[in-house]
Amino acid sequence: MTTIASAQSDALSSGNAAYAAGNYAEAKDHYSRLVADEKMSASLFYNLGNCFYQLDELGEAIWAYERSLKINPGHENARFNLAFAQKQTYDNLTPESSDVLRWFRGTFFVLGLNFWSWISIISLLVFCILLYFFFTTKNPKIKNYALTFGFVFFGLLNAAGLLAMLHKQYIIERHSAIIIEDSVIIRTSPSDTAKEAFNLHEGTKVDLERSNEDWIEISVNGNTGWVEKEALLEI
Amino acid sequence: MKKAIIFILIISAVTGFSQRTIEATVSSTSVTTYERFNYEITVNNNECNVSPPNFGDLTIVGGPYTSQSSSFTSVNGQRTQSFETKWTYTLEAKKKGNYTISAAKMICGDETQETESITISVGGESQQPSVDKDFFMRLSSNKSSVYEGEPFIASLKYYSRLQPQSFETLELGDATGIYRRDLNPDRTNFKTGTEIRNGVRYYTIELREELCFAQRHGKVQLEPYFTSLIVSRDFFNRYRKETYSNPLEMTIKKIPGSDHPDFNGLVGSFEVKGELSHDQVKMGEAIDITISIEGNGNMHDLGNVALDIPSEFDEFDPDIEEATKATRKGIGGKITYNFVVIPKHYGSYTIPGYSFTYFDLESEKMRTIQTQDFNIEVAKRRGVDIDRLQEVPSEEKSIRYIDEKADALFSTEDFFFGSWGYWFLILGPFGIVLLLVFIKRKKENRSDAEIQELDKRQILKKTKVKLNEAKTLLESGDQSQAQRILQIALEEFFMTKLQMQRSEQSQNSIESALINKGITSEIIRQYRDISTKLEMAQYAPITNENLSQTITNAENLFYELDKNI
Repeated sequence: MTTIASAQSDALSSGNAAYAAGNYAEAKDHYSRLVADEKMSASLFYNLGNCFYQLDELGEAIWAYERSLKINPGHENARFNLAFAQKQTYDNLTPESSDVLRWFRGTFFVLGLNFWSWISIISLLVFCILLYFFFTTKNPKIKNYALTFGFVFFGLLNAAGLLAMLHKQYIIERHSAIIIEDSVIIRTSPSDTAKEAFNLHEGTKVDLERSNEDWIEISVNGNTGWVEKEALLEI
Repeated sequence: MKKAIIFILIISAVTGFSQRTIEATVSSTSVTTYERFNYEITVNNNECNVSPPNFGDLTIVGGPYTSQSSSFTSVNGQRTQSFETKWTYTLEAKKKGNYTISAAKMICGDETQETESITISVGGESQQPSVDKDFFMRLSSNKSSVYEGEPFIASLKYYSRLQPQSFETLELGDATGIYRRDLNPDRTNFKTGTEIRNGVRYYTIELREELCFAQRHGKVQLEPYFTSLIVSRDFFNRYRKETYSNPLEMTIKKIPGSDHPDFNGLVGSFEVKGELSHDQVKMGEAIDITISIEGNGNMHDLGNVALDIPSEFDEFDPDIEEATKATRKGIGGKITYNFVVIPKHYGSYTIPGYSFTYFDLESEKMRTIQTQDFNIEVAKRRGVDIDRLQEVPSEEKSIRYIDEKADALFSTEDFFFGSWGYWFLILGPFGIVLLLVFIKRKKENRSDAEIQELDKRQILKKTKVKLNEAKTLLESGDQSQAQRILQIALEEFFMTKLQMQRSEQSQNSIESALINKGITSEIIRQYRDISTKLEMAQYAPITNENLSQTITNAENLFYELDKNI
């Protein structure tokens, strides 16, 4: 295990060194290798995003910053760079991000991967102890306390479990994407010969709806249409 | 008679002085179409205001020309001065019918005088050649049948028996639905010649050649042209000759397939060329696309040329350069449209070529020609769009640096939630607790057993009380009751100690139970004795002493049994 971990940190530091030397393509390769191995971290995606930006790959840069912010919504630099890059997109659509959701994620999803899982387990243990006492004690006062606190910890167990589940789902599931082709035609149905609905350009964020073999339905600003999957990267 | 003459003379003299008159005359009240005639208003003074009549549908070709004259007359010593003012209009009618010229008015202070209205009757077309064989004009076409938009030449030739001296005016007839262009607009000399027609020698002048294009199908007409020339019979005899030509009627053929959606109305023969100034540019760099249409035909009818430019380009109205000439074959040359487009975004773009469909005269078919498509590569601009940057609220003009101290790497498998371990830890303790509760409960059920224990301990005391009760009853003489009590005491004792119901108790069953409990046979014999005695006592009474003894024996038995069970 330790060799894998150190190999990973090697790749990261090689990437950082390459970036510092101005070899952005090389740095990008180092980071990308980690991403290909399904490794994630807010810094990894942030650094990768910077590489893409330096290489004028605006769409990929925005995608990387978005993924970084998904993992750590409080990453200020990633948020700044994302806004910076978004200003250079052709479509210049203001992304609709609900402030409530953002606050929620920023508060609850930044405490570590398994924080809520452990809280739920601890709550469960306390709950079980209280349950035991509730069923076995003859003392009505103890029984009362056991009942009350039992409910409290049961609720805590459910809340923590729910948060843990939401956090995991949020990180794993992909509901949005970034256009990475210079300019794409969005069509009314998933075929090359379908009627053209509208155009989008590199760097625009879209929401994902239904999907087909090679095509996917996207929606942006109330408009929907189909585009080939290779034209975008999922966040 | 003399009196009448004098009277008339006096009246005339008087009226000659003071009467104001207005008169209107025409040169002819009966004319043919296009034949010109004059209408004249004559007024005998210059003091009043004259208003002209309404000519209705008659065309005013010339005028009003004004002339004034005054004269002095002396009659028998009487001098009179008379004035005359004339207005002359030259009129013509284009169609047959009756026309009315209303009255002309003269207003002198309060007085108004009117002329009479005049009716002109206009008869049918007059063909000059049949009216005047000495002077006529012929309008002819070089083609008898053409398509819409196909060029033909209308020539105007003047025939005169006398040598024409000079040329005054030429007026074109109306030509609705026909586009005309003079083939020799700068000509100053006319081509002259002589021709013999029907044995008569004429002088000819080629007055005009016009390149014509019909703009619709069906029947179109060039209306008669008009000229006035000066001809001379001999040196002193010169006069003006006014002549009308024949009208020229043509039947124009409809273009087959002209409902083709791309048909742009051109007829003739054409080629189109497209040129792209740059195919690799940066954002914001201007590109020229030039479309040139070259050929011969009705190029004046070429409408708008437009290209399908993608929305990522700024486009401007094209610069149009026209280099065409009217020749006997039609209007030919080159028209160039220069489009300027500026890309606002990078990427690869294709502007579809310009195509149009025209009617090819040679093959008499619709033909579609087009330029090549224009492929343009727009490179990304390195660096940042400064204008857009104004919206970023900070002084920083570039992105921030990478994270050198990175947070820990993880993968989706590192999520504890939902894994086997997690569910184990959730359900495990829960299960354990349930198990514990269950066990505890089970333990508490054994307290029933404790109750049994308690009962067993207490039964000896209870039995002793009962036995005492039996003894007392016996001493008081109630033998049967004492028996019964003893019986009950036995049953209750065994009920508790042996856990046997009354119905299960019989001497045999109790004995076997006692044996099972490991009671010695000595004690069992004691029991047997008591039990048998009790049974016998039911059928035959026993003595009080016997019963008393039995009770005491039972007491001992109970005591012994209690120790062992």
